[in-house]
Amino acid sequence: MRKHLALFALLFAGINILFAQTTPNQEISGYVFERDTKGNLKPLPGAHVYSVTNQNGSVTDQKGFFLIYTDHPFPQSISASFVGYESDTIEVKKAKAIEFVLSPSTLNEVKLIERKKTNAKSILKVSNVEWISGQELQKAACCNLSECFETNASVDIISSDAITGAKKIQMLGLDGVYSDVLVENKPFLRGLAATYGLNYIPGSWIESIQIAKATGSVTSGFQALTGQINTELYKPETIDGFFWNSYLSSVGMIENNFITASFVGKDWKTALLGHYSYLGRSIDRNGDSFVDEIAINRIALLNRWRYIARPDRHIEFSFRYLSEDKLSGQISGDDLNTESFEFDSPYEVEIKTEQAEFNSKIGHIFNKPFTSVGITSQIRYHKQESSFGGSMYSGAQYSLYVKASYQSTIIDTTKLYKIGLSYYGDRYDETLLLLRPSTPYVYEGLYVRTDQTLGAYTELIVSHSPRLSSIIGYRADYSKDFGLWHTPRLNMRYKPTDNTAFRLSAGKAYRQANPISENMSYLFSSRNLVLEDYNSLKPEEAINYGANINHNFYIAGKATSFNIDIYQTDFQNQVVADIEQTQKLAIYNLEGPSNSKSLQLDFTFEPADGWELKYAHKWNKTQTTYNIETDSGLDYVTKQAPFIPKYRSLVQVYYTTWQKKWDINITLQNVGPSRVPGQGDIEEFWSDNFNLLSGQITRRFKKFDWYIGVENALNYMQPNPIRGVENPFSDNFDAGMIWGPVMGTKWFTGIRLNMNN
Amino acid sequence: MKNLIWILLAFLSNYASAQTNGKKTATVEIQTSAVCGMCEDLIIQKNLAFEKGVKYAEMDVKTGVLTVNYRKDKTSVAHLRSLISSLGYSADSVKADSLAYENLHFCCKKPH
Repeated sequence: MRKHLALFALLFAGINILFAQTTPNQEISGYVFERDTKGNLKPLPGAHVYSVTNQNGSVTDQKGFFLIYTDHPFPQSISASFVGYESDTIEVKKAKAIEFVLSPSTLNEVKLIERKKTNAKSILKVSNVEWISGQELQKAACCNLSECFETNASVDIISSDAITGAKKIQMLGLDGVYSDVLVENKPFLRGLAATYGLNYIPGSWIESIQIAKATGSVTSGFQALTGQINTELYKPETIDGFFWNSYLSSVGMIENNFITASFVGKDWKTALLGHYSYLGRSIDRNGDSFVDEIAINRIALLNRWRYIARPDRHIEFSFRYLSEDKLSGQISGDDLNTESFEFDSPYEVEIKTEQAEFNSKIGHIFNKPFTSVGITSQIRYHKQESSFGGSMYSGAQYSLYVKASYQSTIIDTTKLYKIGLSYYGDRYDETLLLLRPSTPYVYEGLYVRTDQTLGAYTELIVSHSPRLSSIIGYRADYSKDFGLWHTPRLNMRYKPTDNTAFRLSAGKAYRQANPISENMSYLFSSRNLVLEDYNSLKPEEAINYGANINHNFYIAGKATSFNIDIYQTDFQNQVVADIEQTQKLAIYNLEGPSNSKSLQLDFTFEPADGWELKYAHKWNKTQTTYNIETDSGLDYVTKQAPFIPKYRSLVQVYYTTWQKKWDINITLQNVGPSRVPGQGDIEEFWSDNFNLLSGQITRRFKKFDWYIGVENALNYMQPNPIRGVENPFSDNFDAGMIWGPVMGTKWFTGIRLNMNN
Repeated sequence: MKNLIWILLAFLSNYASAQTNGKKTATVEIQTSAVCGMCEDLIIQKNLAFEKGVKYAEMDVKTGVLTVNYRKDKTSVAHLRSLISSLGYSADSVKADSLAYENLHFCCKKPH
C-alpha cells in the first residue's frame, strides 16, 4: 500500500514538474502531520487541505497524504486545518510535495511546538483552556486520572475519607461533582461513578487532558458548572507497536498497563488498552488499627475500533470494562498486638465496583472546511456494593446517552456554528442500610429514580476580527420531572496584542445530584442519614461568571507567562450535604445564599534552556447556607463550606537535558486551612496549613524510560484522621473528617517500555 | 528532603561542568540527504539523542546540514556518518544504506 502510494505520488510529482507552468489543471500533493506526545511526527488523517485561492480542497488519508487539483497559477496559498488544531497556510511557489505540521489549537501562539511545552494556557482559544500533554503527565506518577493534576494548580486533589483511599477533585472552590469530567467529549463522571470514578481511568491510557474553566461548551451538556475536564485516551490511529508500563510503590502496590494496536484487514484498526493494579496486603502505618494503604484488586480493559479506509468517514466504537475490589477498615480483630485496640467485631469495609460501557461515534466529514455531521452514543452499566461496619450500600445505574451533531460555517470560515440534539436517560436503584449499634438505630432507604432529559443546542463561534472572538451557546433541555431548562453560555476573548488575551465568560448549568453515593464518605461514621423525602430534592441550578487575563512576555529574552483567573459561582438551588450537626448527615434543598469565589495567579518562567519555574497561588471562598433546628423552628446560617482550603500555592521546578534524556520535576504545595465541622466533644476548628513535597526523576533510553519518585516527601499526615477510632461503633466515630493527607511518604519507581512494530 | 537537594545540586554541578570541559568536545557539520521534518525526527530525536557521546545536534532541513556537538573521547565523526548512513541517509561521502533507504517514508526520500 505504502509503495503504491509512494509510486503514485512520485508519478504525480513528476507530472507536476512537467506540466506545472503549462497545464491549467494541476495537482498539489503533500502530507499533514502532527507531533505526538513524544514530539515525534505522526500523520494526521482527516485534515482538510484546500487552496485558499479557489477553495478546492481534499481530506488527508490515514497516512496524512492529500492531493488537490487547482487551476490557478503559482504562487498559491494552501491551507490545512483540522478540528482541534491550529490551521496553517503555506505559500506554494512551485509544484512540489508540501508538508504541514499542525499543532493542537489549545497551544499557545508563541511557537510552543518548538519549545515542546507540556502544559500551556492558550492565547488563541476563546474559552479559558489549559492543555496538559502526555509528557506533562509523565512528570509525576500519574497512576490514574485523580493523580494527574498533581503538577497542576487549577485542579485540587484531596482525599475523600480515611477508609477508601479514594481521591476527589475540587475546582473553583467547589467539589469535583460540579465539574464535568469527560472522556473524549462523552460523559464520564456521571451518576454513581462520580464518587470513585477518577480512579477508573489509568494514567498510562491518557494522551492529553484539557481543562476549561467555568461553564464549558453547551455541546457537551448542561452539567459543567466550574469547569470541563476532557481526557483524550490513546486511539487506534495514534498507537504504534506496543507500550508497557510497570509501577511499583514502597507500600507494595503493583500496577501494570499496556497499550497495543493492530490492523484488522485493510479497513479497520483496533487497539487494546489494559490495566491491572494490585496491593495484596493491607497496611496500617499509623497504628490506629485502621488500614491506611488499602488492599486493592483492579482490572480495566478498553477495546477500541476505528475504521480507517475512508478519511471522510469517522466510524469508531469501543468497549470498556472495569472491576474493582477494595478491602479496608479494621481487617482482622484477632491478631493485633496492641492491647488498647482490642475489639470483638472489627469494622470491616469492602467495596466492589463493576462497570461496563459501550461507546460509538459515526460521522461524515464533508468536502468543505469545518463541516461534519455525527452521532455519538454511550451505554453504561455501573454497579457498586459496599459494606462498612455492618452497614450496607448497593447502587446500580443504567445509562443511555445519544447525541447527534452537525457543524458548518456561515459565509466564510470566521463563522462556525454547531447544532445538535442530545438525550440522557439514567435509571438509578440504590439501597442503603445503616447500622448504628450505639443509638441503637437502623436506617433503611430505597432510592429509585429515572432521569430523562431531551435537549437541543446551538453554538456560534465567531471571529469578529483577528483580535476579537466569541462563542455564544444556548441549549434547552426538557427534563421529564422538572420541565424545561434553559442553559445560555457566553465566552469572549479580546487579544489587544499577539501575546495578551482578555477573556470574559458567563453561563448557567444544571445538575441532578445523587446525594447518597456522592456523600458516601460521610457515612463511614456514626452519622445517621436525615433525608425526609428523596423525591423532593430539586435539580441543582447555578450561574458562573468570571474573567481571565493571560499575558506572555520576555524577561531578559526568557519566555515568561502570567495568568489571572477570577470566577464566581452562585447557586439558585443546591442539594446541600450538611454535616454541621452531631451524628447527622442531613440532605436538603438550599434555603438561602450559596456561592463560591475563586482567584488564581499563575506565573511561569524559563530562566535557561531546559529549565522551567512555575508559581501559582489560589484563594477560595465558598459559602453555603445550612439549616439549623432550634426550639423556635428552623434557623438559617451561612458559612464557609467544610474541607475547602482558604488558599493553596504551588511552586514547581523542572529541568530537562537536551532531548529529554534526563528530566527532574519537584513540586512543593502549601495548602491553607479549611474549616472542619465539630462533632460531639470536638469543637469546630480550622485545620493547620501544611506542605506537600513531591518529585520525580526520569531517564529516557532509546526503547524505554525509567522513573523514580516520591510523594509526600515531608511525611506530613493529618493527626487523628479517624475520630473515635478506639471504638468504631461508638457515637464519636467518624472517618470522613479529612482535611489533610492520610498517607505518609511513598516512594515509587517504574518503567515505560515502547516497542515499535 | 535532604536527598532531593543533593540530587538537584548534582544536576547543577553536572550542568556547570558540561560548560567548562569544552576541550573534550568538538562540533562537526555533516552534509546529509535529509529533506524534511520527519528525517530530522528520525535522525535527531529517535537516534542521535540516545547516541553515546552526542551532546547536542541540530538539523537545517532546507540544506540537509546536520550540526553535531560530540565528545571526542566517546565517539567519532566516522561513527556518526555510518550511523546516519545506516538510517538511510548519505553523510558527506558515505552513501546511504540502500536497504534502510528503501524503507524510508516516501517524503524522506531524496528527490531524483
